[in-house]
Amino acid sequence: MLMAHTDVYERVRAILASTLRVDPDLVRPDARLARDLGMDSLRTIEANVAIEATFGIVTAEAVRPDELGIETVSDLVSYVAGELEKVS
Amino acid sequence: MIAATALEREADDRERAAQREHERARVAAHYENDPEIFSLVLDRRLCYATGIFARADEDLESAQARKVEWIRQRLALAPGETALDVGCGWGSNLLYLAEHTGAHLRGVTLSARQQGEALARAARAGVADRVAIDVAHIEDVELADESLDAVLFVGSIVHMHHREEVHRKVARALRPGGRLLISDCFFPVEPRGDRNSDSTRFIFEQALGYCRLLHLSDELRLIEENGLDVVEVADMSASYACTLARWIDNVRRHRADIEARAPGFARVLQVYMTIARESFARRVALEYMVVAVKGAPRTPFGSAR
Repeated sequence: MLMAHTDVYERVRAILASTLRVDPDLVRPDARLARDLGMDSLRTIEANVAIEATFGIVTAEAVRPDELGIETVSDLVSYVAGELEKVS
Repeated sequence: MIAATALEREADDRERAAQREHERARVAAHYENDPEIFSLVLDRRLCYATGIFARADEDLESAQARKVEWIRQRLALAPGETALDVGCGWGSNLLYLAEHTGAHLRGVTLSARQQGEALARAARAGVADRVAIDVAHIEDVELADESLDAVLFVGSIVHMHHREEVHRKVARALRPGGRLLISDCFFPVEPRGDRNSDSTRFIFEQALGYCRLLHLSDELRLIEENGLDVVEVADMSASYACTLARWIDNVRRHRADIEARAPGFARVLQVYMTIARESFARRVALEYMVVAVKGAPRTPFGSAR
């Protein structure tokens, strides 16, 4: 069953807030992962692992999110939603 | 040797005995996890170090089978000879060597759980009479001079801060003609990344307790200074990246089982293995296998190898 986009957003937001140790209110759709939220290489890997565990998808190619054009929270949510569609 | 990381400087600041206790407690913590977890992630022998891949798409079992056989050939143990495996883990090399040579095998590990699993496996393989394992730090183990025919460190020497002492000790314990084999991680002389990054600390400290990566040339110098000739060095960095990729796939496949046995551990494994895979794929860290011989090595012409 396909997960609603808002559910994906809420779960990704929770993962980012906990991985990056920031206030969930700061994790807005247009927030930039690296520049606004302080996502570095370790936090990227930690977030990927949490996303894999939560959604049951494989994010192997997302080790460097910039290569996938993922810059903002919204980009990441779309990426996860897209991967979920592929496996559903 | 110059400390490459802040972690090493912290170790330098400790008294020798305090650092030994630090390693004993912190390194063992990782390996004290349920062996069943590692059996879900590693190959059937529980080799927790690089395999030797012939192709990038080869399976983990084949790569690890090639590794244990590579080690057996390099050590060339004759019946009745004695080998010491420092950091023997769950006994992958001890058991393979016991089964495929007539030698006596002695292991050292910091983890009582690893000792228990390795001895149970030795009993099942019918080689328990030639396998003995102590739970100890190598710095605390008494080794008689010229009492050993081979010493191996496979994915273990990286946990030992006091390398000069370790090399001096095992070199004295080797008989003339005795073989030393190391398979582990090293840093290139010129840094190719931040060695004090959060990622590095995550692996070296949080995941694995304590790690010290030397430059290969520094490790080789220690070997030579203690009277051994280096006879072989093999770069395994690409193979280690492949090994880590297989382990990560296994963590993914068994995430729920691992989490049920040790909550949070699947995350630790996948994060550290992903950092490591990236590092070895980009050669920010390097993986080598080194073989050395005490005194005059046997000539390659007409030798049994």
